[in-house]
Amino acid sequence: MILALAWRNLWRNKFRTLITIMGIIIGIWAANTAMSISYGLNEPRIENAIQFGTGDIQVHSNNFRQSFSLKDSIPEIQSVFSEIRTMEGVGNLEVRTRSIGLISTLTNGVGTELVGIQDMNANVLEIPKLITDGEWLSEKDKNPIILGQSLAERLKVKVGTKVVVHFQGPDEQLIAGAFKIKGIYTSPFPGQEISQVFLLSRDLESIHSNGSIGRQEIIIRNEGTDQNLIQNIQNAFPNLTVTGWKEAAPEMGYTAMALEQGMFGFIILMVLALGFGLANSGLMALLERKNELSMLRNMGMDRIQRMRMILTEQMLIILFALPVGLLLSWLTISILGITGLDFTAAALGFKAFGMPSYVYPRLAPRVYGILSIFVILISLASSLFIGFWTTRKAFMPQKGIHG
Amino acid sequence: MLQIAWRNIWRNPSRTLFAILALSGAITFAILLRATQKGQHDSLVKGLTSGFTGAARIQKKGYWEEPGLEHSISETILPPSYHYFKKASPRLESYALVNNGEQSIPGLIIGLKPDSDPLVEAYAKKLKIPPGGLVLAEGLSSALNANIGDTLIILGQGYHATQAAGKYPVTDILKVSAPILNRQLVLLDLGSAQELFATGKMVSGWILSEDDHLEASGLPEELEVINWRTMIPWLEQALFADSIASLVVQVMLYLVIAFGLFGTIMMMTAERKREFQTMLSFGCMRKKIISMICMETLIISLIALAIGILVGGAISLYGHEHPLKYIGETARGLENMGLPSVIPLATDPWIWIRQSFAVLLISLGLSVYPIWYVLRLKPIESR
Repeated sequence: MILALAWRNLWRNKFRTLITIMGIIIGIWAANTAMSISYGLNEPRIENAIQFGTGDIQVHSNNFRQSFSLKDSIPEIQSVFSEIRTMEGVGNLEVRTRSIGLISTLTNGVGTELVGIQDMNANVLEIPKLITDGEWLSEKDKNPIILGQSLAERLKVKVGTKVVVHFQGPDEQLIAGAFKIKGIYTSPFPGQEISQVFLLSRDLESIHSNGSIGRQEIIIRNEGTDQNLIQNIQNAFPNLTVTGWKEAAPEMGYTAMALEQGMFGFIILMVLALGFGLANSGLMALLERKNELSMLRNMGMDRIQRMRMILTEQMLIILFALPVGLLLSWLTISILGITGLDFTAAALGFKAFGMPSYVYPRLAPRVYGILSIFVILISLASSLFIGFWTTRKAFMPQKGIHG
Repeated sequence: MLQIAWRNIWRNPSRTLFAILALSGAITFAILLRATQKGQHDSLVKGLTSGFTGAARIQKKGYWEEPGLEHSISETILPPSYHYFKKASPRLESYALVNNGEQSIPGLIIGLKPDSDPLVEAYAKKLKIPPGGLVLAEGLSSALNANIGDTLIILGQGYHATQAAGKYPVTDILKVSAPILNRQLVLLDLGSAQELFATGKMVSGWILSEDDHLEASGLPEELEVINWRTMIPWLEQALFADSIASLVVQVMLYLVIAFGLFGTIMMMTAERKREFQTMLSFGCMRKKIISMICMETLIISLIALAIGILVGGAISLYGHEHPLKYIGETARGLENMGLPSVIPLATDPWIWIRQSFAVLLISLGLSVYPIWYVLRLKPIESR
């Protein structure tokens, strides 16, 4: 009975119904699309950091992340390596030598991270793709080293120049060796060019000349950082430290998380604004229906029944708006995800910030769900408010029908 | 006409109230969105620059790209007449080896003035950096196995390739958020550093804790001002991407607001169909009805503007004192690194003005609808 009444009420004033439906559709669409553009803008940056700088997961000895010393190597690293390789969800992985050192020319010196490559063909991090001058490391060369473009500029060196690398051996003696620049890389991960140089583990070992220097790091790629996988590896090797990319580049990682959380907050604020608008126009619409509601009361409908009627109307609207809004968002995001959203015309300076001006929006199904549920909740809250407000006694005129 | 408009507004107070509510609510939401966005960026920048870089620095031209003792500059070159003279704190920076008697580790040695440097200010605990003493970053101290009271040796190259060597007791230990700096940072008193590196009264530059409207005018020819955007490129990139995304959200908010206002305006106009038709039938010119509607819109807008700015501004001020908190892993991670885990809302009055005018513009644009409605209204149908 109430359903039939609500249904007819909706059709009686199509225009009013349409405005509310459109409002909810726009809300769902705006929330999803804005969030997908935010992900499209931010995720490539994080992917660059993971792809070239940190990998998805890093494994170190417990002390290494404090000391960055060659002496804190992973014991029996080859067996650890083989065991991790068989674990489910693990993609590529690679063993590396890691330490810090000082790169210097005759006039200048800069502290930096030394990354020793053991297997030149592993390339779990795709540094060889970034070489813009010279070539990637090769076994044939004697003491080759790869520097970032910014570091090379700072040291005023180019391909072919010799530099001296100072570092500390596992026995804590200071060692110096001459290296020849084999290649220069340009990284989309800001700051990497200054902070990392690549050389061969073999060469560090031969300069040290006092036995093995060990290996300090296993770096792992998988499909997206999987918190469970990190936990599984940690459980399998309780004596090692397993970290995700966020801990590996914590300032950037947690800033990214803070910004993502902020973005959710902004979208929630936007949806609240929508709820406010819906409540407002809904109340106005019901002002017009004062007489109708009074009449229903005089005909014996109690407050609960009247509220149920109004809520049923709103539910019908939401039931219609939800699939349309979701479909519209999905279409927009899918199409823009393929064609890309071109910001070139907006002249916002993407180039100057080292970012491509084509943005490919994307949204995980989970986020679609969260955002849409939120829009629904807010519109329900606003309809509850409308229902509550308009069924108050004070709202009703004394007489049901004006004479 | 003004009189009729005024009376119309109060003839149906609840309708007017809803219109004012819609518009002032929209203004409030627009202000809050922008204040939160700006507040978040400001607090992240402040947290991330207080460690090493400072928000801005004054230096010899090209120093950041090519640092080194050879590019230091006389301490007295910064004119006291320069607007930011008082806020600028001098530093001398260079790399050297830090030795505990058994092993040497490369360190970034920073000579600074403990009473004015933003790095010291950033830590609630006042760092103890007496002349002749040194402060180690936590990571470096554990790598060197050094505690407060131990004596360390700094060895390196001084000014003009002189030998730099000195012995210093550890007077304090400092936790630094950036992992690389946490393994490298060594703080000395400026005077001690100048003595160590034999630079005399020379410095690498001056650090400032804010970069607002910082200008190079008033500086000698050889100096320049750079800010955190140059020094922390990933942060600039991250904030840039975030502001574009924020811009998108803001446009979407305007869209949602426009829709809400449009709904309100449409319903108000529809309700008044009879009234307008009656006026037309009595021979009132459409021009006059339109100017009446415009006046009503203007009055409602002005009231809503005042309320919107008042409410939005009040919430911003409150949110500045009682900031929003991050939740979950994000909050824990930020706290662990000594970064702020809250968002104090920005209280820049320009935000209030810009946002309220943006919303007002939308509402004025939408008031084309009632005008168009009156223009095509036929008086005959009215009865």
